Amino acid sequence: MSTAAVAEAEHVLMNGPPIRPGKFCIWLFLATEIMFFGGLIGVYVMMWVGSVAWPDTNHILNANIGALNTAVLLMSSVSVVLALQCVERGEQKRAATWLVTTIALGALFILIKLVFEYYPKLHLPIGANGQPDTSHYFMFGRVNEAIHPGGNLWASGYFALTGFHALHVLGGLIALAVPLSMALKGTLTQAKWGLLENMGLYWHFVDIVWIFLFPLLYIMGARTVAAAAGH
Amino acid sequence: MGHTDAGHAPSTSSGHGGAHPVFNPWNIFYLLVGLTAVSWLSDKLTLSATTIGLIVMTVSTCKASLVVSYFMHFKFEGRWKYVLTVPPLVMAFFLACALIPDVGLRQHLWQ
Repeated sequence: MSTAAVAEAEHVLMNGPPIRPGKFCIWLFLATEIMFFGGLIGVYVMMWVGSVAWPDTNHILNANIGALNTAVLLMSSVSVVLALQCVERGEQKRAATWLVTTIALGALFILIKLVFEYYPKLHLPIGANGQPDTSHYFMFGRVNEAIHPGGNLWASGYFALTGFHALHVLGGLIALAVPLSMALKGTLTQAKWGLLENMGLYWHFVDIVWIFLFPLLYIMGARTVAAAAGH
Repeated sequence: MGHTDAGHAPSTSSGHGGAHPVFNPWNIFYLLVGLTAVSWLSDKLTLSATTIGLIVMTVSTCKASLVVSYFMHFKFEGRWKYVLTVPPLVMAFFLACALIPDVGLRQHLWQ
């Protein structure tokens, strides 16, 4: 180890990491979030691997909608970065514009999820007796079957992963309203750059989680039946 | 706790106690959208499930690396970043591994 590296290590041991306390805290929080989503994804994969049957998600999930939502979240990440760069230059009005863009895109993500994904799955078909028909809950690979969070292993995993992710998006939207309000009041000065950076770090993390959920749920899941059938 | 830029890569501008990386976010965005298109197109291919899985997870790892490196400024930070991120990643990995005997292999072991 070089002398410089030893000196840096000693500096960190004696004084903590050379970053802002707020940034240190948000990274500690993100470390817990890595564990949270890492655990959820790990459990989903293990349930999938250990199951005899797994639904063909081609009939349940629309990869086009998933890809669209991915692009929406990626664009929102860019708009946070652009807002951050505006704050760094002292352009608060432009920063507010980019923050509004970010919040609008985050809201659009949730809207797409609710309208095109959750609602059709939770909307139960009505059976012959006039009651919600729950007979399809435990059957795999059927078109138009109602999907319920407690319906089967796949549905539980899907709703847990995407639901917790959507809640994190919602939390991010609420958090981003704070710097937006400051920017509109003219108090999001260059000295407050770190505040927006912290919130941006959280928002990018939420983006990264979706980057892995999209292929895992929408693309790889659709291959299960084909693989099992030997195609 | 120190408030200096010590440990940050030189490609950052000085500022208010944090890294101020200089890069064009649109270039990263175009790359990310292109990679997303690769994932989406791979869904249309008639390859084996394993091949598709490898392609899309590799693409996702590249996308996450771009977001972490540039948008989250990892490329411009000091080595402290590994202390805060590697342990939870390792623990999350081993958490999944701990489920292999009882969940992942239950069909093989209990039949």
